[in-house]
Amino acid sequence: MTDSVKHEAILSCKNVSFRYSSGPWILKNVSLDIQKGERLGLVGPSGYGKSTLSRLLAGYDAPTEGQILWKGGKLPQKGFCPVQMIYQHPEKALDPRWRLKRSVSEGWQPDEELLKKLNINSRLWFDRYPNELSGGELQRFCIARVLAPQTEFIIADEMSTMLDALTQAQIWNVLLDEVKRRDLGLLVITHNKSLAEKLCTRIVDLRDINNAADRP
Amino acid sequence: MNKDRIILEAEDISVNFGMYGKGLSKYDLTVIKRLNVTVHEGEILAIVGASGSGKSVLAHAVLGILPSNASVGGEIRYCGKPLTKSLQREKVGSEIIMIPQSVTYLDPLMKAGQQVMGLKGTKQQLEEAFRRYGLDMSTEKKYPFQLSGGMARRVLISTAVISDAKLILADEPTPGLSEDMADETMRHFRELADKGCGILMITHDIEAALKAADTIAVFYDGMTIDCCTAEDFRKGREALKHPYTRALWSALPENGFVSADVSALMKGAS
Repeated sequence: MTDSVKHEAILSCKNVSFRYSSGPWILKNVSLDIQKGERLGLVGPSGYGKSTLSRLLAGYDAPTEGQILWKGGKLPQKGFCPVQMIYQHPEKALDPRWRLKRSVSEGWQPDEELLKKLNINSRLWFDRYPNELSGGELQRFCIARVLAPQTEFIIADEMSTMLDALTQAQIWNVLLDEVKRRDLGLLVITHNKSLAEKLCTRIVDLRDINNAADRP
Repeated sequence: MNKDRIILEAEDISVNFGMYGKGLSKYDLTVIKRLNVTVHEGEILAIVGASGSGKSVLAHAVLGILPSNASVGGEIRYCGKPLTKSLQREKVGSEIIMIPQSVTYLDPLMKAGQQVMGLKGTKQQLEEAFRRYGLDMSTEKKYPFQLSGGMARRVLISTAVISDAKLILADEPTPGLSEDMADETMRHFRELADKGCGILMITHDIEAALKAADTIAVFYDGMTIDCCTAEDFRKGREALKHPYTRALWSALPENGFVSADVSALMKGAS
């Protein structure tokens, strides 16, 4: 592999700006390149657009100006999206009227081994509804859900703030193993500095790259 | 303020949920087996422990907002009196205040300002709380869907701190907050406690909890397995006795990020 290929950005945003209809700019002229094999940490105070940027990168919203590039082109609009997101609030990410078995196998069928690694009690929990499990338990389902073989990039938006320290260490170790083994891209959004330092190869503060004026 | 006065005492609490199996068969699901906690006047008690160990269920039991298929055993006393349904109705919302875990507890059809003021709060208190938590006054007119995760969390905290609560049950008050904001929240909790309020804080953020808490209770699988002072936790692994508490300490990203096998650990302990 030549150097130029190695350093090619896998996911990037070019001069991206975003606002809701005619509201204030949330993101203004944000440019960010995430290289292949890099684990990037995105930090910054609450309300500065970290989650908005991750929604744009995962293709859930379209930028008002600028472009999101996946391997130099556009994110696929149909079928399985190679960029998958794990949300901050698992209780808002799961359909409250679906049993967990249905939610977890929507995109693929996770194997027993992975469920075991994530400490998911499949026999007991599969038939429950989301309101019958705790936040930390739900988050493990959200992680299993996105680890399909087609996934190439994972965005974790504050995914472990709902977890106790032991579960946090356990789940991150599982996810990091998968990321390294399958050579997945990873974007970690967190407020916990020591966690970011532990997980990431590079850390970016959104305040340094977001040019939107008046922030909350 | 009398530091020996007990505000909340929960003794041998157990909670069962009646569940439906196949057809009409019913079975009981035990989520809390035996929990004991005590909160004194001016004390901040932090409850830590595995997710699903019954931390939030305990808070909901104190407030009497468990779903109708739940049955609670043991006794909860508030200021020495058994916390009955009628006492709950009288005190919850005025003297006993909850900061819920999920930002979905905000009413999606009500502006943030109204929700913070509630029935008794004043505009002045609202401004004070917003200023303290770095929220712009325009937040008052916003609906919950217009707030970011961290802003919604700060709105939830504001609802509790502008009341004259004697007991605050804070269920995960810090996720989504930046370090400065989490520190500010902890400082504010300390101030409220020093004025005589009792605070029970359920948290995973041990780092933040250690900045304010007096006592740390550790829950595992529906039981209180350890209770130590925050001082012990700050001293480090050697000062802690229970193997689970030790493993919890070592699992913190700044202390090694070690993921221990919990079930093996608990077998060794019992």
